[in-house]
Amino acid sequence: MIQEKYNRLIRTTAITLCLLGINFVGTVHAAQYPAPQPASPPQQLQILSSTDEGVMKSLIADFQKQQPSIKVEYIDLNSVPLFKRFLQDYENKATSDLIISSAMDLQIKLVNDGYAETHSTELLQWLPEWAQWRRQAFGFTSEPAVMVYNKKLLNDKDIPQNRFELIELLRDQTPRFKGRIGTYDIQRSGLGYLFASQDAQQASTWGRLIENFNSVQVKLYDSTSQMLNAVRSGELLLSYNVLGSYAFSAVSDSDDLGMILSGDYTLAMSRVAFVSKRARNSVAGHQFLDYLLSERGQRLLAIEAKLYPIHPKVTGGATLTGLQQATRNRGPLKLIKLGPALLTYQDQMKKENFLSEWRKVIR
Amino acid sequence: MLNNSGSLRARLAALFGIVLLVGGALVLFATSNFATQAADEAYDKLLASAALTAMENLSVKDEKIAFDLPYASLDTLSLSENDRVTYRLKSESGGLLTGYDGLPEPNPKAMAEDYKNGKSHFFTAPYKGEDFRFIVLERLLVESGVQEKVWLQMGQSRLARTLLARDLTLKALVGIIVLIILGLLFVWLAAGWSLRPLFKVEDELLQRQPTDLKPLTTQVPSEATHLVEAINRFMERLQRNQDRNHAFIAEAAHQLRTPLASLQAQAELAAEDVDSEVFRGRAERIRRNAQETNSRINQLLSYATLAHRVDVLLPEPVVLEEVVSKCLADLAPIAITQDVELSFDNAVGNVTVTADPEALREVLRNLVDNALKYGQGNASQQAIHVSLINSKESDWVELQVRDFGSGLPEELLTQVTRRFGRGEFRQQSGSGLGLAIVEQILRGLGGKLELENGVQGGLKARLLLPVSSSL
Repeated sequence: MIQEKYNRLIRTTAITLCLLGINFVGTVHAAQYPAPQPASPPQQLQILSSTDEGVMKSLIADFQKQQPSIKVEYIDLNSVPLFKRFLQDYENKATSDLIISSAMDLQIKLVNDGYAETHSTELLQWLPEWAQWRRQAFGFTSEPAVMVYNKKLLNDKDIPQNRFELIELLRDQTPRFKGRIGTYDIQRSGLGYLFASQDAQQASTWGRLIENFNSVQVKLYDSTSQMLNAVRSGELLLSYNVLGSYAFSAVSDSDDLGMILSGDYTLAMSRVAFVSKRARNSVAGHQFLDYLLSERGQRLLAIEAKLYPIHPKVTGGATLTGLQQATRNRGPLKLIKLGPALLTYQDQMKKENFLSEWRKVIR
Repeated sequence: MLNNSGSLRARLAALFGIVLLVGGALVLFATSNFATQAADEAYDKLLASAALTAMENLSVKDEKIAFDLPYASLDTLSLSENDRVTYRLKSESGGLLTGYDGLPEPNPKAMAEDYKNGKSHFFTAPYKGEDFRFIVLERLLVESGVQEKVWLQMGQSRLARTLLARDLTLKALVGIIVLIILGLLFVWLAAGWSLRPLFKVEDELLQRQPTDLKPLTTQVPSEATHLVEAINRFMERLQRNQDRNHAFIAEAAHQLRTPLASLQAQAELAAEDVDSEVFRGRAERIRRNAQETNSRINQLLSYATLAHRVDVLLPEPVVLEEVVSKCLADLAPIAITQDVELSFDNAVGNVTVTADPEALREVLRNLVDNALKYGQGNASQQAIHVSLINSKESDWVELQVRDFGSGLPEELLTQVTRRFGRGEFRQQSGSGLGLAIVEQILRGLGGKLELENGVQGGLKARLLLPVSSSL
């Protein structure tokens, strides 16, 4: 009897400790993928990424089919904390092996400042020029910024086909849209800031757009999934600059959601990956990068993750080739080119000005 | 096959190749420097244009410095594809306004110098593990509330510059290599072309009849004339040798045929004679003829030996007195049997000459022999005086052999020593044969023979020899 009680106590304690452990790991969102066939000195690949772990699951599993001896640890952080964590790790001499982020400008800043290792592009003859910089930063997706609307609440005739129509719609029906338009909070989301800065850079519509956003008391969100939920629930009629890859999945899953590629121009951003110069296992980092850019990896990105991969041989809805087809008769597709120009909006004064303008308008 | 000391062509090619390589290396070095400079100039323009574009957006707003980095500025720099960029805006009082901290500082003196000359200030400095090229622009802001100097420093890594410079240098290198190859090819062909006259000489020599020893007639360049002259001189000697041999053989045949015919005739007559007195007379004549023939054969053989020696003299330093006294000692018994007084007089002491001792002995023997044979008829005294005296010319020594016979007729004095020709040989049969050889040998030794009739009658033969200077 006593023995049994004692055993139960131990078990309970163990479970509690386990739960505590999971909780502790959970605070940094690290997912473990044990090696299917562990090697004798265990090999580990650590990926620091701003892409949701759920989206990358099937890719990591497929990668481990090719490299069964590698254990993969996937750390999932938002782009700005990711940027800070990487710099902090770098100061402490060792970082994750592969850094993936949708904040292209921050990634380019890291590469420009010499934190990246050069990757062999022997297998990457097909890679377009805009998708790589210095053979260190590699864009492996091309995801559009789209508008998502609630099909049930917005008539066909009210659906804006481009930014001009959106501005017109908000101006004409201000009371109707009050509190029911959403977009990124560019002060909190790196991706939102990237899209906003590119909008400001690309066209003169940006100023008028945010003025109208202000007049309809735009709601600001930290992430695309929050915006998608708000539109699906009917809280919002329309959300602007939603990440197309997540929208694509949401729209195909729900009958209530619609997605618009803006006709005046469609911005497309890339998730950028680079191998850290202070990687613990840079070989594995390069291997995973090669896998991401391989036809097999890119195909899986299209089918499973719907992340708009860029490989020309990979076709379908959520691919660059599909995106090019969809925008062919609508308007220009503006791929954000990897390069030092992306540093412009990371300039302290420029950023401060841009954000203060934003704050002035969006109150 | 003769051993050779390598091909002239290969030598020329190697020499020229070294010159070309050294020259090529110098040109390459200069080109590489020039290319780096050219690449810098080209990309400096890009850097300047990026910085100037950015400077446009520097202003004063609300009594504060405002700077709006234009997208075009960094985008301009991305024209050099893989280069990292950096920049900062700094003011006199406020320090870093925006951009990167920790950029290398420009040299204020060099910067001030450039600004004074109205130029932008460029410099290269290491930054974050790479060489960067920087530009610094200065602007004095004088507006309401703000009055200070502001510097915009913009930098770019040197990858594209290095690549361009390397590309330019590589292109130059290809040119240089082509030039070297062409140069070597040219030398190879030119050497062949220049050596062609030599091949012509070779052809001419190969195509000749074995007996043809005429001088070469091929036109050759000045550098090869000496060679051809040497060949021609060599052939001339060969020709002379050949002529002499021909003359000798003809003469020998002739000289021997006559006495032998005579011997035969005497012997035939003797065979028919029955009178013992006449027979003895004939036998005596046969004996004399045989003796005569024998002496001629000896002379001919002696001549053949010496004539050969003329061409293969082996000069060495010899003490003249030793040679002379030894030779005279050999001849003394003959002189004694003929009742001739043979005397030797040395007025110069130990003189050394460079000569073939065997030839020298032969010369002296010949002269004494001649004096014995032909210098005793009607002689005022039965004597031969040999003497060594100093010549009138310094560095020469004179060996005199004189007899007191009837001497030689004036017209023969010069003739007897003349070189062999058939006619002369016959004329001088007997007496002259030796002198001609003597003359030749002496000439081969660098000396000369002079003949004169003595004041008291008799023949005086004077041998003049150069004294060896080294001893």
